[in-house]
Order: sequence, then structure tokens, then C-alpha cells
Amino acid sequence: MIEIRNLKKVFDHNVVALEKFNLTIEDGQFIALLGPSGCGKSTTLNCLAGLLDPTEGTVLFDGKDVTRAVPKDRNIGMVFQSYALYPHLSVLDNIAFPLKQKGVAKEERYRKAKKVADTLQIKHLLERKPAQLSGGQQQRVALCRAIVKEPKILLLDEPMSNLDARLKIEIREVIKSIQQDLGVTAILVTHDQEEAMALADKIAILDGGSIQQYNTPDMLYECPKNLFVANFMGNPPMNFFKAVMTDKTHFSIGGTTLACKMELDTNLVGQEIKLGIRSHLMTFAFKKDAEHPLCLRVRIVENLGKELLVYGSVGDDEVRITYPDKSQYQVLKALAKEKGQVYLDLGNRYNVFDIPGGRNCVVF
Amino acid sequence: MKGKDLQGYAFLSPFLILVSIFYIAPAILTIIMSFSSLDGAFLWEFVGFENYGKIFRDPNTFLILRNTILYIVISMAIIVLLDLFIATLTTYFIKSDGWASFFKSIIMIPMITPSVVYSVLWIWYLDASDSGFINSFIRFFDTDFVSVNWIAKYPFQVIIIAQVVVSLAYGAIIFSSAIRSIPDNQFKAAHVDGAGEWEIVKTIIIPNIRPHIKFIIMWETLGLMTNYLNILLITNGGPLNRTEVWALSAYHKAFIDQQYGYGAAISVLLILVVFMIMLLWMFASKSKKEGEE
Repeated sequence: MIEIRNLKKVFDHNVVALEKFNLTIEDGQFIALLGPSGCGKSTTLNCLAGLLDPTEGTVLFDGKDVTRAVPKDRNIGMVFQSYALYPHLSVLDNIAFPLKQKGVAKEERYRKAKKVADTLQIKHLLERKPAQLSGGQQQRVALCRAIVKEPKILLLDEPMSNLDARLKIEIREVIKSIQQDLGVTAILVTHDQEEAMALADKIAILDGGSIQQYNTPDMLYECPKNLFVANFMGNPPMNFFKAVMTDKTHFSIGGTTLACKMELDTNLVGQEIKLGIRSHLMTFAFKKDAEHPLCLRVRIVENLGKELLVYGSVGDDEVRITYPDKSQYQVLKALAKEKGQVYLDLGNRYNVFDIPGGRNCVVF
Repeated sequence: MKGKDLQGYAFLSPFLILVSIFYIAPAILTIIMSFSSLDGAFLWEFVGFENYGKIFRDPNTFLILRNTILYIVISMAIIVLLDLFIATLTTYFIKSDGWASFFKSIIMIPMITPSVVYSVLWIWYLDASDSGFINSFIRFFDTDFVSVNWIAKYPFQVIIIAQVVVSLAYGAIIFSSAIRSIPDNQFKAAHVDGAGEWEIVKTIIIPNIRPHIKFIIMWETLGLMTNYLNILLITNGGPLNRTEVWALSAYHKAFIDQQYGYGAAISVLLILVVFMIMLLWMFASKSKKEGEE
């Protein structure tokens, strides 16, 4: 088990990267630290690796304080965005390098290195130098090097950011399967929410050096704690509407009053709110009626293959809606050209964020 | 494209002309001179390979050759090792940029000091009299100390140390910028993999800057072969030719003994050796590249 308690990291010129950072990770779990650049996710990982000394707080591995321990005493493997292979060593020597540092005999370390190379399907590349490999192959070598000493913890610092879309998915599978097979605790740093969703058992969303929400991908997607999380998770991103609570069970969007179908944990009467709705949980009709009261001005329509994605606006708010009936593509295209309107139904599941706090007030 | 080529040549031509007048012409003149018995009387009498034969007959030639090789090999080895040491310390171990640049500025002082001033300083430091800096310094701790004529007693060591101190800065700065350009993640990976600091120097820093090390070895070798100013000013090749090196002996023969033809022949041999080393180096680095592809 990994416990991070009250971690704080201040860099030169008083730049605070992390503050009051707490996180507990169970053995064998796959955790993603997700957030925009500068949110402190890499700093957290480097503190876990022992490459950075935290300013305050403690890091515990299985109850043992390792806050000031050097990297080699932490039993970790690490993979970097830029692969960080040793350019003058062959692939085999790269993989065997951590074992060499541990003083494992030559034959033994080459045998182990060949074995992991075999599981990652790079056995035919062992004699080459890193410069002669493609990005995907280099990252496989880096993974081999990270797992060859059978670490307890695998740290992944944006390992897929330098790869193209197809390789990303390929390496994603590799990472997931070795994590499952080895049962190693893995911590992935990424800014790609899709990657985090696909790989992690639990995701910690970071912003401004603190955790916004730490939960399963599904909970983050369905029940975001605040506007930041809601904004960050999901593609296409969540739609937001400015509204005002007119009484306990009604709100108004641009003059149209609608019943609030969600139960709220606080009284927001008279206050401004933001509604957050996933693009697939709304629908629209071509005629205005009681079910479809809101005007949506259609701007663009995209054919995504399995469905349509309609871009438009309600008042000042930009909206994206997925529409499953592809036969309406030409109709919608014509509508988009003349900036025509369709009529929205907000659906039955949405989030209500208070303004300016941005907290999700819905009782789930 | 062709027009662009022409423009390039047109802009280069003033330099080419200057180089021809002031470098190539004297070089050719030197070669011609080396086949003559030109001396203080300025009579061009061609004597064929007489001057070259004289070099091999000269009883001092072997000593001078030995001095030159020892001087180059020892100085170069010390320079490259110290450069690596300084560059690693100031770039990798000392994380504070301020202290590192302060230290690097200090080692640059000898390099930017004019040779004459620098050599006079050494002569003053090592002065044989009781008032010599080193002698009085030692006497400060050991009152019974009898003054030593350092330059006369250890001439070879003195010129090597003096040369090393002047040459340090250049290589140290090249190495330290090379170390700075190694991706940080390689160091991080090595730390995670459990490598100690010495292991990091050995398996990351040195292999990464290998091309720079080769360049500095080449550069210092050529520099040490042809540059004799500090030796001239500190020991003037003495005592009894103990610090006479090849380039300095060409100077002595030509300008002190006024045997211009003989001096020219010595220079021509030196230039030939320099030229051969450069060719070898170019050939080696070229075949290395092809081998990698």
C-alpha cells in the first residue's frame, strides 16, 4: 500500500507545485494521475520515485517511511515519456542495466532480460541500439527495463504521449496486460482522460496542486464532484448551460422555465447555476412541443460513422449533441447551412453546479 | 541554385584571397626555403634534401622528439581528465548555476591572460631567489627551507603545469555544455535503476560526450604540437634542451641561429605530421559514421 500524507512541494521562486496532497493506493491497483500541464501530477510521481525531495509531508510504502529514501531503495520501475534509454547500450544491455546495478551475475541478468523481452515481443531486437528502433519499440524496451527487476511499483510518466494514435493503443494494451500479469501497483501520469479511463482502476484528477476527485473512472464520468472534473472527463466534453434557480424545483434558461429533475443537497433559490449534461443524454426534435421546449441554433453537423454530432448554441452556450438517427444527416446539414433551429430535451440525468463555487449539488 | 552558389563564392573570395596571401603563400615559401641553405646572408642556394638530412644527423633531434611526444601526451592526458572532472562537477554535481559559472569564470582567467603576462607570473612564482613566491611561501611554514631553483630543477613539470592551466577552460566549457545537453530523463532513469554516481559518470556522461572528448583530444594535440609560446617565455627550451620541443626548435634554428633553411625544414616536417593526423582523424570519423549507417 502506498500512502501519501500532506505532501507539499515548493520549487525555486516560491512556486507551489503541490499542497496538502493526500492519496492512498492499494496494492495491485492501477492508478492514474490526470490533469492539465502544471497541475502537479509529474511532481507527485517524482516524489514517489525519490527523484524529488518533498518540502513537507510523508510518503509511506507498506507503512514504511520512504520520504527521504533514494530511488534505488524504493523497489520501483519507471517509464518516461521520452523513453530515456541509454543510447550507447544495446537493447539487451539496456534491459539488463537495473539488474547489473543490483549486482546480479551476467548470465542470470541476460536470461531474465531475454525473458521479459520475450513477453513484450522484442526478442528479435536485442542486439540493436535504441536509435535503430521505432518509438513504439523503444517504449517496449523501456517497459522491459522497468519491470525486469520485478518492482513492487511501476511508475509511468506519460509513456504514450510521444506515440501516434495507433501505437498509443498498442502500448496501452501492453501496459494493461503486464500490469495484470505481474499484479504490480501501477501509477500512470497522463493528461489524456481517455487513456486514464481505459487503463486505471481509479483516477485522481489534479488541478492547481491538489486532488479534485479520486474515484473510479465511472464515478468521475457520471458523478463529477465539481465543474473542473466535469469539464475534464469525457469526449465530447460535457455541455454547460447558464441558468437561474427560480424556486426549489425549477430553473430558467434564457427565460424558459423548466422543472429540475435532480434532487439537490442545498437550497439554491435565486442563485445562478450551471447545468452540465453529457452529449448523449440529451436529445432534440424538429418541432417545438412541451417535451422539447428549448431552442438550439444548429451550427455544424458531423457524421461520426456510428452517430451524428451536432454543434449548436443555446443563447451564449455552445452545445454538442450526439444524435443516433443518421438518416437525418442531410436534413441537419441543410439546417446548419441556414442557421436553423431544433428543439432540445435536456433529458433526465444532469449535474447542477453552483456558481461561483462550481460544486456539484446533485444528490446521487 | 547555381546562381546562389556563385554568390556564396563571390562573398567568400576576399577571405580566400587574404588566406592565400598570408597563409598559403608563406607556406609554399617555407617549403621552398626548406630546400635552400638560406641564412643571415639571405642567399637562396638550393641544396636539395640537405636540411632534412641534417635533422636526422642532429644529435639533439632524438631528445627534442622525445620531449615533444612526452609533452603532448602528458599535457593532453592531464587536460582531458581535468576537463572531464571540472565539467562533471560544475554541471552535474553542483546544481547551483551561480557557483558553477563562478568556478568556470575562474578557470577562464589563465586562458584570457596574455601569454607574456602569464609567463612572467610563473617566472615570478618560481623564482630561484629567497624572495620567489613559492620559496617564501614554503619558508613561511618551514623556516629551515633552502630555496630551490624550481625552473632549473623541474623545467619539464613546470611547462606542463603552466600549459595545462591555460588549456583547461576551453575543454571544460565544451564538455560542460555537452553534459548539459544530455536529456535529464537519462539521469532520472539511471537513478531509478539503481546506478550510483560513479556508474552514471561512466555509463551516461562519458558515452554521451564521446564525440566531444575526441574533438578535444584532437584539438589539444594539434595545439600542443604547434604552440610553443609559453615554453619559449618560461624556459626558452632550457636548461640544456630539456624542454626544447619540435616547434620551438624550428623557431630557435630559424630566428636565433639564423639558419632559415634548416628551420623551415623542421617546420615542414611538423606541418606534415599535423596534416597526417588531421587526415587520419577525418578518415576515422568518416568510417565510423558509415559503420553506423
